[in-house]
Amino acid sequence: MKTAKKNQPKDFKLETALKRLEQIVEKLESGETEIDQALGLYQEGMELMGRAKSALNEVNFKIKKLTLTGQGEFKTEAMKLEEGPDDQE
Amino acid sequence: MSDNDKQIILSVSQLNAQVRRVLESSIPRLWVKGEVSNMTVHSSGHLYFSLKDGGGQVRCVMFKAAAQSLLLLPQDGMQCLALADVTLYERAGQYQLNVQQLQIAGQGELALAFERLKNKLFQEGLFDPEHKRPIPKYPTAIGLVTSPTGAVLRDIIKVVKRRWPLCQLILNPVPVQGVGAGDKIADAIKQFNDSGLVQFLIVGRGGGSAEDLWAFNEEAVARAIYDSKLPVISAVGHQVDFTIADFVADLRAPTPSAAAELAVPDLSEVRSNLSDSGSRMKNALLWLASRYDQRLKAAGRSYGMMRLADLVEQKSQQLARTQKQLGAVLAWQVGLLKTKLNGLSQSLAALGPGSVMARGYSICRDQKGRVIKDSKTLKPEESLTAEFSRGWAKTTVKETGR
Repeated sequence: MKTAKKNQPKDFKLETALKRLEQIVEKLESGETEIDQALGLYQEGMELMGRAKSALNEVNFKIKKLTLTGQGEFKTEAMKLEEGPDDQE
Repeated sequence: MSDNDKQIILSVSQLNAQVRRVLESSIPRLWVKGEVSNMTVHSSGHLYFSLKDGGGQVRCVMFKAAAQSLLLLPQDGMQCLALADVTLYERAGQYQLNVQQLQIAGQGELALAFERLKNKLFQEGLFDPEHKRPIPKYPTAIGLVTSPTGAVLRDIIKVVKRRWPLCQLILNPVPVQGVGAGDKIADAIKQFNDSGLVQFLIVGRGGGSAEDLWAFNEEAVARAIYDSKLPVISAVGHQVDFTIADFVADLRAPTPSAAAELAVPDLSEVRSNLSDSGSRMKNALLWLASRYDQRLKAAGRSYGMMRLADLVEQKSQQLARTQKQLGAVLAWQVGLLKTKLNGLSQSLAALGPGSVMARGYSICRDQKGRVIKDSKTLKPEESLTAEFSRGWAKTTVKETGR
């Protein structure tokens, strides 16, 4: 996972990438692009796809708890789920 | 001082203590009905308020131990029933009620309070659709404001883990019912905003009675949601339960599980959409290329192009014909030249002196080597050279004539 993260540019955002990809697909499908522009878009789209695919492989589910340090800074710490009675339901 | 004046003198404290004993022993625990006013939650957890009606009022205290069992804090103006002991607050010399239980007098009161706050916040614009922010589609961290022990947390974890395991959940645990729960929920929302650790919030709890859900009808919660820079999904109760929090939230989910479904996309769906995008791009490109091909062909079929093509065809045919003709002409000329050359070489051979001399003729040349064709050019005693078919001889001119 760490190497995968290193391969991602720091500013890579899945949401932005998928949005741009959708734009590219729609632009290509509109048929209103010149062939060389279309090739450029296709190349950009394939690149975004590759990046998005590797981002989707970064499975990293965690449940944490928000805590406040003495210095007033926020931190998270691992938490165990309490198997208490469902006093709320 | 007379004897009549010889009475026992009490201190104020003694008096108050005595009045208190009288009050406490002569009036048994009772239910009192009245309108709540000046409700104050002390930092110690005790509640101080008054109960009043058209004719008067009485001070009330509800100690922390009793107050903790309250599901919701009666608000000023609410008609309530209090189960109380009558006592005296000795330091003030004021009689008061020591409240053991406090109930809102009927659901109507709650509904009224709900409507009152709803209208107030609506007027202020807290529910305005323009204020609602979109929930980020592919979150990496979501903040949860709920109880650490309820089924809600487990439900949300289950759904997020199944659908979108690329995401972290961060819980800010809060009590979700009882007096003070609303303030703690509001604080938790503010803390998440300050922390900068998550992209949006899910705020909620499981189903219950109107009283159970009351914390989510508190003004502090509504304002905290409105002020939150992070988008908020509300998930309170089940389906039909609407709270003030739901009206202010950026997105209202009917249940906590539904909130989790709304909060995250489905990973396998996102993956298949992604490969769809890939094939869509390929297809679009192929289609574009084929259209270009067709366009080229269509352009070829246009009148202008047809004319041009015809012209080219005509010219090239002409050229071919010309080439053919040219070839034929050339070949004929070359042939002609060849025969001519043959004839020439034959006649040249015939013209050459060798064959003539072989027949017995000879050639005479003067001293400069010029062939003598006329005797008039000769002078007597001039020496000449005579060439024969074989060999030569030097001679001298004796005499010339015609």
